[in-house]
This record gives sequence, structure tokens and C-alpha cells, in this order.
Amino acid sequence: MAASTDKDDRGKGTPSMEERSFECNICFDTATNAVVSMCGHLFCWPCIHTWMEARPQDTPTCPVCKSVIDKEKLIPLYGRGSDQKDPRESLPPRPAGQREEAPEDNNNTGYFGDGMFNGINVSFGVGGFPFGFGLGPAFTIQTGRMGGQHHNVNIGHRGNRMHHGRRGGQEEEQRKTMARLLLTFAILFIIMIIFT
Amino acid sequence: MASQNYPPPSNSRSKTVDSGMAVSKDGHSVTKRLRQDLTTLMLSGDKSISAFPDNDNLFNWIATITGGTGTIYESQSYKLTMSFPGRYPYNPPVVKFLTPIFHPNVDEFGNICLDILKEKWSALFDVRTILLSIQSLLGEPNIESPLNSEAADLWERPEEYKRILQVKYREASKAT
Repeated sequence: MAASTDKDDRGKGTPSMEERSFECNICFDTATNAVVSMCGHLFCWPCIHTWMEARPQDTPTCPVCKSVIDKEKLIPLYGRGSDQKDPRESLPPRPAGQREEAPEDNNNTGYFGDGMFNGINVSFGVGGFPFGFGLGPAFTIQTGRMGGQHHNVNIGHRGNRMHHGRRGGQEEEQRKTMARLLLTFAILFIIMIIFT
Repeated sequence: MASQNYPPPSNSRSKTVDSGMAVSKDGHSVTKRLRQDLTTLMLSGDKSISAFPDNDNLFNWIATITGGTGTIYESQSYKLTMSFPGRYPYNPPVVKFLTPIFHPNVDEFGNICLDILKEKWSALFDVRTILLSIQSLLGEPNIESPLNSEAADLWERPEEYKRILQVKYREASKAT
């Protein structure tokens, strides 16, 4: 059953002390993507990374001497002709999170589509035109709301999901503040028009 | 044979710690490491400890430890089981005495209280070093945290301890 090991070992002969000094202290194999700790102990990067992840609640310690170890303080070893890439960057066993940017939507529903600004933002867009006509804006808001409501609720929903799924919270927050600001301006403007 | 080389499915430790880390993915390196352990143990030439996979399942081993010379357990030999988790060597194996043993740090079920098999575990340890640690535990028990308080109390009276130990050992070797 240990045939493969026997063969490996016999092929090379029993590993000499010199060869053994380049064995990883965890897998006991020749260290690949080798890194060395500040305390001088050699590991494969995947091996020591798995060890550090194995006890996330504790401070990671060197398996050999229990000295505190840190990912940032592991030194990659580059032999002659080996890949000069930092193994700590090229071989993270844990894949990075993936995110995909939503296609940019120029329709203003993309901006104001969510929540309470549904109808108003449509009215603002439509209402921009009749501002000059006295009482016009008041009516426009009404029609805008009525007409736009059904359609907008749908878009709003889609927009909502898009925001939560893909956009950062901060970005969304900014957008809401912007919407509120614009709304305030619009209302002030309308009031101004009505009372002048 | 290869199909038998799987980690124990009902290992509570690996169940809680693994949480989705693919055992099968690491399976190859685990068996490779266990083969390394076996080679190291066999090449060490130490007569007082031995171990071999049980029924060709690399994840379950049967080991034998003979008490160290000069200790109260000298020339007594005990069988143990070692079951390795799918995340070995990042997690320690479960090691138990198969032969009943009268010892302050071993309970009636063969469970061993040894820090390096629990919180002091290091990925550096292999089968050989585990067995050597247990062997030295036999001669140097930790009286502070006993699993067998009778044995712990008796430890200070070596004559009496030895007498009871020999009676219990004879019973145990007759039974197995």
C-alpha cells in the first residue's frame, strides 16, 4: 500500500539531511510556493495558509515553535528560475468574492426609481416643461403621479433589487440624499411659482 | 483499496470545523501525508512504538506503545486506535487506548487527556511524535487534570500503584 512512497523514496534514495531541510513542516514534502516565517520555519504557502485559517479565533502561531506568525510577515522564497510571483498573492486557496457592475441605466428611474420618490420624480421630469405656465406644475404633479405610478412601481422594484444586490450602501445613500435635495428644490420652486 | 481511503464520516470535530472545506479535494494530500507518517515511523526504527493502517484504511490506524524503560509501565504494551480527520494534519486525530490502561490521564473508555491532541495540536505533529508523546505521558502523567482520579491519587505511592497496575494489566491482556 505504501508502494508509491517506497518507489519515490528508493528512486531518490533516502532523502539526505540536506534535502530534508527544504521540506515543508506541515506536508513533509519539498516546499512548493515556499514561504518562511520570521522564526525561520519553512512551509508551502497553501499549507501554512490552511493552518492559519484552521483556528480563526486564535492568534496564528508557528506549528514548529509556536511563535506568533502573520501573513504579512511571511517571506516568499524565490529559487533560481522559479516564478517570481509572490505566492501569497498568486495562491490564495480562498477565491475572492465576485461582483458584477450593473449596466449603467440613464433612465432617471434608475436614480430615483426606488421607494417614495416614484411618482414625484416622473412628475419632475415631465413637469419641467410646463413650469412657465402658471398653475401647470400642480396639475403635472398630479397627472405625473397618476400616470406614472403603475409603471414606476414595477421599475422601482427592479431598481430596488439592483441596488441591494449590486450597489454599495454608501452609493445608494448618496443617491437618496440627492433625490431628497432635488425634491426639496422642486417643491420650493413650485411654491415660488404658485405664490408669485 | 483506494475506495476505502476515506475519512471517518461521523467525526464530530471535522463536522464542526470543516464547514464545507472539501474533504475530497484535500483527500489526496491527506493520504499522501499519512503515507509520509507511515514511512517516517517505519524508518525511525523505534521498537517501542508501532502503527499501521487498519484494514488498509489509511484514516484508521492501530498502534502499539510499549512503556518506556525505567518507567512504571516498562515492558507493558498497549494497543491504541487512531482515527484521522479529513483535515489532518490541520486537525488532530482521535487517539484512544484499545487495551484498558490504569493511568491518571486515561478514562475507562480509553479516552486520553493530552493537550497536544486538543488545544496544543500543531500541524507539525505526525504519528510518530504523537505516539512518543503518549509514551512519555505514561511515565509522566499530569496529576493536575486526571481522568482517572483513583490512579492520580495513587501516583504518589509507587509501590501500591505498581501492584494495582500489574493486576489491571494482566486482566486487560487476558481480555484482549
